Amino acid sequence: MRKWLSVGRAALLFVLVLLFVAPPLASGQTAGLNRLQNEDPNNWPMYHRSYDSFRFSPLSQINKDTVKNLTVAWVHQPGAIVQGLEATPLVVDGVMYYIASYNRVFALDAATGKELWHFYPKLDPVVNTLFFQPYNRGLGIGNGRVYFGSLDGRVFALDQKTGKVAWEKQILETKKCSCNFTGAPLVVKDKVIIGQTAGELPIQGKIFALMAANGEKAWEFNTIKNDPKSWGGDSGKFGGGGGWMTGSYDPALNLVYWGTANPAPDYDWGGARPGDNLYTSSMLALDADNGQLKWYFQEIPHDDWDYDAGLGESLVLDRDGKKLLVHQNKSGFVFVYDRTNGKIHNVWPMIHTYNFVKTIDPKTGELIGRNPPREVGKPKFICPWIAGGRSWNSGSYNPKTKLWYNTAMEVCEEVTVEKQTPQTEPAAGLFFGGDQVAKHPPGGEAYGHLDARDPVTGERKWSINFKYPPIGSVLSTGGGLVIHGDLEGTVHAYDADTGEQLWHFRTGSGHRGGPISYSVNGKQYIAVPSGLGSLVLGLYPALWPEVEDFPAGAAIFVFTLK
Amino acid sequence: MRVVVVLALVATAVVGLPVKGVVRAQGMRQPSAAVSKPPFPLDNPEAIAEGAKRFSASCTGYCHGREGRVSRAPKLRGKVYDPNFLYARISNGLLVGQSGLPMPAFQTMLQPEEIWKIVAYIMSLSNAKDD
Repeated sequence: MRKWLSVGRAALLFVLVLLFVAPPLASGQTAGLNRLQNEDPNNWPMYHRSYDSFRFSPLSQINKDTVKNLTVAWVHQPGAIVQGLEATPLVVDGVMYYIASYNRVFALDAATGKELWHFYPKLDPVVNTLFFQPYNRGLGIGNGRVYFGSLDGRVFALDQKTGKVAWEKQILETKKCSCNFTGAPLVVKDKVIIGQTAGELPIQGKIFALMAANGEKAWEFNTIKNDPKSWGGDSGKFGGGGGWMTGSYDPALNLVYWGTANPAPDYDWGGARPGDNLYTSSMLALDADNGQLKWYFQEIPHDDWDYDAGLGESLVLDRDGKKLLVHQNKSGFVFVYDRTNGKIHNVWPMIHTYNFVKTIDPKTGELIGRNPPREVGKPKFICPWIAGGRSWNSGSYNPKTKLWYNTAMEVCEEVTVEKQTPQTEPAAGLFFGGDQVAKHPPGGEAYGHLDARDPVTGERKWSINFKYPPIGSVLSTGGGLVIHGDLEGTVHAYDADTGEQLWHFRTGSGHRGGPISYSVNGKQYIAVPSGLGSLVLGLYPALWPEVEDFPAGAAIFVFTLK
Repeated sequence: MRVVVVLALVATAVVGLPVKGVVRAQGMRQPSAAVSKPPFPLDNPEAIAEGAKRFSASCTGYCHGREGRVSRAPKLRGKVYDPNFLYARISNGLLVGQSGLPMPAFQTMLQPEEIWKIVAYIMSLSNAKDD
């Protein structure tokens, strides 16, 4: 593309970019690893940008002083708005890659938005019968290829330059299991790691590693432990689990950290699945090379509430000489581990509205005073709601401010447990074991908030409240900004130190995806996926009827300085 | 289009790539519902009760709301529907519904009698009011 550039001019340009756009790597980041991590500040090469899952861009051209001069550089629309736009785009060397509903994949010139190629897979009609469809949260990139898991249970590798299929593999029996892939893969060395949906289905969910070169299966990890003590009777056959979102990776330990989903049925009427139900609602540390389990911690033993551990980011964080892992469980509690062995370092609540337990022991992680909905047919008031203290969207950790910018939801529900027989023929049917309706917390209105907190202690520096609990991911930058889009369709830029709003822009539809920042030819951009859609959104109108009519949409808005 | 197909065939011949992967498509085809008639009166209390259980087990909280209350998908309480419309909609699903939501097709998952029980349950909500 830039053949006219001499080697010397290219080198000079690279140096200038480093000098004026990219600040030195901040403390807490890992230097000297391959370019898929933090080495190139101009790129956003994986779902959480870096293996440590910080979702932090070190770029600083757009900062507290200049953000007022942001303007729209370009907009791209995928042409499919069903369930909005849930993805986080990727950018590598001036090209943006993103995936939209129905697995539409695009490669765009990241400076202009001009399409370089697109790929629309022919999906099996079985997709139209599934619960988890037609959204997708993101792509993986590595070894010259773009990877994604499809709605009909395949994994694709596309040529990064042309979008042509390099290989595709049918990994799941989607017609039988009603399961699929909706999360972004994680590329680790020569492997593509991806987990499946399963938590609401009477099946056994797994995490897979495929060889990046040809898609051959390298290893798989069954999140349903083959142990009659953990799964009484034949309940393990229908145990659900899986790992539907994207994990983290520590190259020094060669461990992949992957959270697992809830057991099925979601609600247990008493005896549905006797035991602790390993390894559902757990954090796993797996050897990246062979998938062997190095350690695990079950955040919610015998999960009675659908508070799975499969969502959000797992921060690979070093502090005071300790190797930590910070992970928010769907229950709203944040688990801080010693990531070398899985021992609990701390547990703290991101929310203040909860009654599913009295508390969780910050030293051991034990659930104290469990309050499960068990009585069949009798509604029970539970906090937080099934959408969680936070949904699957991710927060962002800024190693300069040492703050974690993260969203939370203060919402309750009324759960009615119903006995249910698992359906596996002709295909797996949903296996919830009850249903629920959203409720306001006692003595107040439900709401959501964006907090700046210490990720290890939970100490809060600032907080912003939202009437409608936000479900979009967060970006923080080296320019001292926090970028976040709300449910009503406005993207905000906040001062990372104070929470003061410095800029905002109305994109026209709510936010569910992940904003990113990148740089092309010395110019910094902020890309914001806009487009409301999500299964959890269906829970909102019970409390806020107007949300029923909030418009869907799908567009990537890209901003830069005037 | 011919170029695409030729390239795909060449690619398949040379490196064994599947043709399916390079065929362009948007969305999916809709399966068609088989013609069916209710095997019981739609006001049959047992059928309504069983339909309620099946409805509850098939995505109510996330989609139509518990007992058909307001959600992102259409509210079902207090509305009078044509039963044949309901049967076809439950069978076929909907690619793009209200608020940009899809509705899964249930005809491969449920027997016609089960779908009719759900229809009977939804019909029974026609006089129901929100709390």
